Amino acid sequence: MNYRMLAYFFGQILRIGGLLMCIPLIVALIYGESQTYLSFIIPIAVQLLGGCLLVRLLPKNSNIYAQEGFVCVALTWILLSAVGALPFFISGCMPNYMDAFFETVSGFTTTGATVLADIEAMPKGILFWRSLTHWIGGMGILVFAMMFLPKTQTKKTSMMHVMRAEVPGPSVGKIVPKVGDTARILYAMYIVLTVAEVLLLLLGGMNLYEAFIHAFGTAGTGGFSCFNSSIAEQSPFLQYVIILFMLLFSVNFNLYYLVFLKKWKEALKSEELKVFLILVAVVVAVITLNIRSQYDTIEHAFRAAAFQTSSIISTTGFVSENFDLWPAMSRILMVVLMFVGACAGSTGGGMKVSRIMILIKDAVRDLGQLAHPRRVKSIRLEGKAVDEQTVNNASTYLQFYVILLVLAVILVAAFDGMDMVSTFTSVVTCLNNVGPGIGEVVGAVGNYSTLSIGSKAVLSFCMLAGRLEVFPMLIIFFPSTWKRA
Amino acid sequence: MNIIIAGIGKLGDALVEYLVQENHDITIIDTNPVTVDAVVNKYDVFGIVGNGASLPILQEAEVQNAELYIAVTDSDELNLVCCMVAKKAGAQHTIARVRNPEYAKQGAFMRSELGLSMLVNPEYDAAHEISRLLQFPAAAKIEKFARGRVDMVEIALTEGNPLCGLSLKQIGTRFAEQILICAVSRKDDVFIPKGDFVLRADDRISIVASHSNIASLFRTLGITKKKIRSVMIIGGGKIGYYLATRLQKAGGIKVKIIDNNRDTCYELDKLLPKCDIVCADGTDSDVLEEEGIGECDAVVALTGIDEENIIISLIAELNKVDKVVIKVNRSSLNRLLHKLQSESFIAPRYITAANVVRYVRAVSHSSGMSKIHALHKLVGDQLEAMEFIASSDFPGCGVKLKNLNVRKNTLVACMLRNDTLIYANGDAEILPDDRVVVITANEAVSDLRDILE
Repeated sequence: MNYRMLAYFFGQILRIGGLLMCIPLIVALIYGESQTYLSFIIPIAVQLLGGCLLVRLLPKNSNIYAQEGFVCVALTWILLSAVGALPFFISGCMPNYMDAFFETVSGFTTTGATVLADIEAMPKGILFWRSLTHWIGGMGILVFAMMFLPKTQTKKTSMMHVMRAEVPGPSVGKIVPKVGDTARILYAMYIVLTVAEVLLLLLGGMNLYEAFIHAFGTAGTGGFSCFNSSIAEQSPFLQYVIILFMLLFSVNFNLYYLVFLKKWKEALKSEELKVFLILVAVVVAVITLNIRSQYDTIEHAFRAAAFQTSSIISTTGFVSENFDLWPAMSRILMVVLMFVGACAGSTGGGMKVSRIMILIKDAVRDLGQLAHPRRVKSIRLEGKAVDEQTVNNASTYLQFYVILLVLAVILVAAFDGMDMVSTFTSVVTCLNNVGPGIGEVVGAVGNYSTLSIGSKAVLSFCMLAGRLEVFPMLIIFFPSTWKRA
Repeated sequence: MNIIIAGIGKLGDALVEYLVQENHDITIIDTNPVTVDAVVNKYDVFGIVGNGASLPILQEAEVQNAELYIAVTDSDELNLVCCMVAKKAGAQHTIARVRNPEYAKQGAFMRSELGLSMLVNPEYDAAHEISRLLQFPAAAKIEKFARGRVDMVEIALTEGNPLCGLSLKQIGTRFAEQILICAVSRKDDVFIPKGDFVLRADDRISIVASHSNIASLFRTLGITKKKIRSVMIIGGGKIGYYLATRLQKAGGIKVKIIDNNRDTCYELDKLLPKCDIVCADGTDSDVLEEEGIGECDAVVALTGIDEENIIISLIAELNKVDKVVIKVNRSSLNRLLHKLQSESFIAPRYITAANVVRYVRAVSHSSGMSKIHALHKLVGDQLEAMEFIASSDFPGCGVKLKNLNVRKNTLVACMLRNDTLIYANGDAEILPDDRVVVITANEAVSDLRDILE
C-alpha cells in the first residue's frame, strides 16, 4: 500500500473540493444570505489548507496498483462526504452531523434521498451546494480530479485503476489513449448536456437558479429538487424536458463520443442501448394502462408513467406523482427498475443494464452447458465475446450485492422496525442510488429524517457501496489490504 | 524459366514436383540440410542451405536472374520478408504463402503495396473447394470454368447406375441433357473416351456441362442428394475456420466444429458466433454419435492426421451421413481411398500447387497470345483440365474441330462464346475471344497453340 501516494491524492482532492465549494459561496453572496457565509468559509479554509499540506508530500514512488485504486476511491468518497457535510452542519440546517453526512453522501452518490422535510425553507446557497454534489458525484470526483493532475504525475503512472474503480459498469475502457484526455472528453460532454438542459428549463419558465438546481439533479441522476413537491407542480413541458434528459444521462457516455465523431451507426447499434430503450418503452406502456383510471386524461397517465419510469430506471429519483398510490403492479415494476438501473458508463446507478444482460446470458449458457457439456460458448455483448474474467466479476458483484442487501435490510429493521415494504425499499433505493422508496416513511412524498442514526449510517454505507459498485467499499474492510506486503 | 523456392515443407515439395515436370530450372533454399539433400536427390534441382531472406544466400541462388521467387516457409512474416528482399534484389515475380486469417483479408493491399505478384493460401483454397463440394453434394469433385458458367464434376459410377453398360454415343441419344464425358478413370488407367467407349460400374467419370444440365442429369440418374443444411467439421484449424466462415456467409447451414484443444475452441467461438463449438476428441465414435453425427447432412474431417480423417469418414459412413469430405495430405493414400469408396477427399497443397503452376505457365508465356486462365489436375494428377481465352492469332480459329489436327490424348471440351455454352462436336469451331476448356494428358500445355499437332 503506497500510503504517501494516497495522502497526495487526498491532498489533490481536498484542494479541488475546496475550490468547488466556492461556487455555492458565490450563490450565497448573490442572494445575500449572510448567515451562511461562515458555514462555507470554514470548510473551504480547512480543505485548501489540508490539501496544500498533503500535496507537499509528493512521493517519489507514485505507482498506483489495483489495490491502491480501490482504497483510494473508497476513502476519497468518504473523506469528501465528511467534509462536504460541514456547511449543512455549521449552518444549522441539519440538527446533527449524521444527518448532514447522510445528506452529503446522498448528494455525491447521486441518490437523492433527503432528511429535509421543508426544503423551500433552506437558504439558497446551501441548496445549491446540495445539488452541486449531485453534479460532481455523477461523473465521478476522481475522474474530475484526473483532469487537473499535473502532467508529470500522469506520465509516470496510469490512473486506469482509479478510473476503473469509479466509473460504473462491468468493463471500463478509455476512449482516447490518455486518461486525462478521456476524463476531459467525458466532462466536456457532461457539461454540454447540462447546459442544454439548463437552457431548455429556462425556456420552460424556470428561473436561472431553479434551472441549475434541476439540471444538476438530472445530470448526476441524483434527484434533489428545490421544491418540497419535487417536480409534481411543474408544467408538462418542464416534465417532458426532464424526462428526456433523465434518459439521455442514463446512456453510456462513450456513445455520445461516437456521435461526436459522427459514427452514428455504431452508436445506434449498441446492444445495451437497444435493450434499455425497449425496457423503458415496455414498462411505460404497461404502467400507463395500469394507472389509466387514476388520471383524467391518457396524456397525463402517459406523462406520469414516463416520468416515474425514467426517473427510477435512470436512478434519478425525481417525483412527479405520488406513486405510492398506484396499483401494486406498477409499484412492483418501480422496485424492479430500481435494481436494473441505467446503462454502464452513464451517471446512473443500479446494477446496470449490461451487467444484467451478462448475468442472464451467463445463466442461460450454464443451463445449456448441462445439456451439452462439451460445448464451448462465450458470452457476447455488443457483438464481441466478453472475457470470462468480466463474467466472473459480474457474478461476484451480484453475490456481494445480495449479501450486502440482506445484511442492510436486517440492520435497518433492527434499528427502526418500520414495516417490511419500507424497510426493504429504503435499502434497495439507497443501494441503487435512486432516492425515493415505497411506503409511507421513505416513499415518494416522505423523507428519511425520522430514521435512527444507526439506519442512516447503514444507508450511507449502502449508497457509497452502490455508487462505487460494491468492491471498493468492501475492500477497505479486507484485512490484507492494510498489511504491509 | 529460373525459379527459386524458399522453404521445403509439404507445399514446397508439391511445387517442386509439379514445376520440375514443366522443365523449369529450379533452385531450392531451406535451412534444414537434410530436407535440401532429400529434395536434390529426388528431383533434378539445385539446393542451397540457408535462410531465404538473407541477401548472400539469395545472391548465391542468383536471384537477379530469377523470373520467379516463391516463399513457402512455415512463417507468413518470413515469407513476406523473403519476397520483399528478393524483389528488391532483382527477382521479377514473387509469390508468398500467407495463411494467417488476419492477413487473408488484406491480400489486395499486400499485392499492390508490397510488390507481390501472388499470395497463396492453401487452407483458404481447400476451404473454397470443400464449400463447393457441399453446395453440390452428389459430385465427388467439382471444378469451375468460364467464370463459373461451366462445371466439371467427378462422380463414381456405382452398380445399378443407368449409365453403366452404355457407350458415350448411346448416352448422347438416350439422355436429353447436353453433357460431355471427358475423362474416365478405371482402376489405374485414365482414358479420354471416344464415342464407342462403354462405361462400367466402379468407373469414376468427369462430366463437363453447364450447372443446370448437370443438376438435371443427376435428377434423371437418381443420384441427387438433398441440400446440405447441417455440417459437422472435425478439426478446428485454419481450413475449418475458413470453411465455417464461408458456410456461415452462405447462410442456412448449421455448422458444428469439434476440436479437442480448448484454447482453439475458445478462439473459434470468438470468431464464429453462430457456430456450435464443441471441445472433444473427434475421433471417438461415442463422442461423434453423442454430438449427433447421424443427423448431420455432411461431415468434413480436417484433423492434421490422415489416418484419423479416414477413421472419421468410416464412422460417418456407418452413421449414414450423406456427404463426407476428408483432408488427405499424403498423395500415396489416394488409390487406397478410391477403394474405401470415400467420396470426396482434398489435398490442400495440391490445389495450391496447381494454382501456382497455372500462374507460372501464364507468366512464362506472357508473350503467347492465348493465355491460360484456369488449371485443374484431374484423377490423381494424370489429366489436366485448362481454360484458355482464344486469341485471333490462334491458327485453329474458324476451323471446324473435325478438321483441326489436335494432338493425341487431348480433347477440346467446350467453348463459352458471349455467355452461350457450345459443346465441342466435330462441326463446332473456335473463334477469337472464346473461353475454351481443354482436357489433356500431355504435360506442360501452357498455350492454346500447344494442343495442335
